[in-house]
Amino acid sequence: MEALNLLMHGFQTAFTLNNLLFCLIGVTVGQFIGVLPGLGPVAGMAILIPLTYGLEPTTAIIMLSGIFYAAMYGGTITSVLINTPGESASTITCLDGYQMARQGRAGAALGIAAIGSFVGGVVALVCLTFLGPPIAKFAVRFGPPEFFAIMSFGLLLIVGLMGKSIAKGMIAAVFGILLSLIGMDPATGTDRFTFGQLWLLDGVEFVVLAMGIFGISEILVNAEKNMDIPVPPKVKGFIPKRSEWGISAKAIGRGTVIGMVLGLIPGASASVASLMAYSTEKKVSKHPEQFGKGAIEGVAAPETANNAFSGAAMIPLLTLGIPSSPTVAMLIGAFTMHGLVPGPLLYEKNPTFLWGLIASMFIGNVVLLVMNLPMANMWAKVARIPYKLLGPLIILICMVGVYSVNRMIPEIALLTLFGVVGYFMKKLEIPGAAVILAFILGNNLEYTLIQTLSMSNNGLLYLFQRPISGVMMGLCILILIGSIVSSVMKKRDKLAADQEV
Amino acid sequence: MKKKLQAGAWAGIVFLAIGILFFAYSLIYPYSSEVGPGSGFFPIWISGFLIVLALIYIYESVKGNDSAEEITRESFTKVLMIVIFMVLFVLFLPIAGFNISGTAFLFAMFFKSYGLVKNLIISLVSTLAIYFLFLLLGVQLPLNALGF
Repeated sequence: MEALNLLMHGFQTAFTLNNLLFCLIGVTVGQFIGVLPGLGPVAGMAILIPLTYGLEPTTAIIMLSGIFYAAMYGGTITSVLINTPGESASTITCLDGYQMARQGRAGAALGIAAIGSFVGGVVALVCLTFLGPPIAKFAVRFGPPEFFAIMSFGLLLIVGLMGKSIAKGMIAAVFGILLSLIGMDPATGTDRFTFGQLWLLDGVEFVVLAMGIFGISEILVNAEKNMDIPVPPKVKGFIPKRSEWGISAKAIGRGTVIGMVLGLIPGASASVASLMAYSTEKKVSKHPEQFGKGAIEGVAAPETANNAFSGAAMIPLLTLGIPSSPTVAMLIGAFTMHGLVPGPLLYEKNPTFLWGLIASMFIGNVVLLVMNLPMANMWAKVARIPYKLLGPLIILICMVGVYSVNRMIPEIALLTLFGVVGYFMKKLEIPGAAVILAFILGNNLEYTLIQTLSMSNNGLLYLFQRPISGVMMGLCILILIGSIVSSVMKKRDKLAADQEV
Repeated sequence: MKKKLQAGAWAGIVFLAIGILFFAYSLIYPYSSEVGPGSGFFPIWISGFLIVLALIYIYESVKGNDSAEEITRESFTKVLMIVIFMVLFVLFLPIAGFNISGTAFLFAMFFKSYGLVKNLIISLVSTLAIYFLFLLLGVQLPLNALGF
């Protein structure tokens, strides 16, 4: 019950006026980003990270995490009301959610989605509370070979799961690692690949890369689309029919489990979680023909799963320092920027921060439940803010945001360049998420690899001689072979469109 | 169909060029040191991988296995315009200051969406709002020689 005690201390941290306020701001902004089609959580976080510079680390991370899990709530509203997912994890909800809305049952759809999201989110947080400490305790003993193996495993899973072609995924990852090498070498202190530019000495700024590849490129891609949003219908009554309670409860239960398991696996994304929850429901259902025609399980399960995912994804982040999805990678970026190193030592060195963050997520989920049930009509109006107004404003805020990090104008030019790169990557279906993840992990990959090789007498074989890293490396090889085989056999289309952006 | 192949192959060539550039650059750093691998070790391998992968990508595109979305001339022009405005903003920022370059940037971006007067008001008000928001967050954005 030590964890419970620590959590109570966490609530003391989270319940200070300042932290509470920024938790509220975070979830409101997250909800807003979730509602807006054309602006996903990754882009939203990239844009907002610079704004948190002046804040206390704890407060900043509380706010940014709020954006992460709140976006999962917000995305549902537009999926149900206007058949346009606000973010990609809610895409599958359109199928039955929109049909329910057409039958005049939008309220019930949003109600069950909010309840499911809440249950999924809170259960995952409870797991984080109790599973986190033992995992961290175990992981403290990990040496460089173990971390190298886990990071490679996560990266390969991302590459293996995302994108249609393994070659494109690998290119993205390797490109991300190369970018991370610019600047000071962590082992020897030599400055590398700076091309004589002084401002590159500290390396490529994470915010610049993330904003370019996710923020700017998103707007460039949307600039050529028609982003007008139809008038959403009015929402009334949030309580599903009595007869639907039983089915919904079971769907929420299954959604929670699926979302949580996927949240633990590095490389899965919230979209994969909701997709899997949906197809599971369809498989176990007694009336699969109802799916796509307004079945309430088709809304409950995926919406629960994507929230359970975002809660569970905090487990590998906080205990191992490993991002399980692009959005979590953004959080790692924010951690680093505020001088915090996510990983097992967090539990020993920054308990106040850690438990404050976890407690704030409980609070945030309660706030979101309230925000989503009675206030759905208001949020539906938000989605109608014209994109032609929003797009240019976002670009300007991005450019100013980048400047505010280091006060360097060349970095705005670099942002523009990465925006263009990101645009072409989107068009060519090269996964930008893999670039970001690889960039985040790049320095550590090199550092742990070099340390491993210095410890070893027989080169890379050493990785296979230690039990944990050996198993991980074995899995890496399996994934690699598996994804090459599947890409040769062209069976990759199913998961290909599931990038979380 | 043909256009798509070219796009993929071109991207592959760009990655190939980046790979070769970094590979060549890596060679100036020592591959090994007294304690183990040197600062050139990891970059050489990573850029080497990129070269190999880029070649595979080019091969896939030429063979027509690539299924990328097509980039039309019309959409490309739109994107190009935005990028040009962004570059102009960067160039004018140190000279004209944020308030003028920001307003000008937004004005150019809104040009097709709003009438001149409305556009000017929206651009100016938004720019000032952003300026003061960042001031509030402790960030002084660049001003011109006249102080605004």
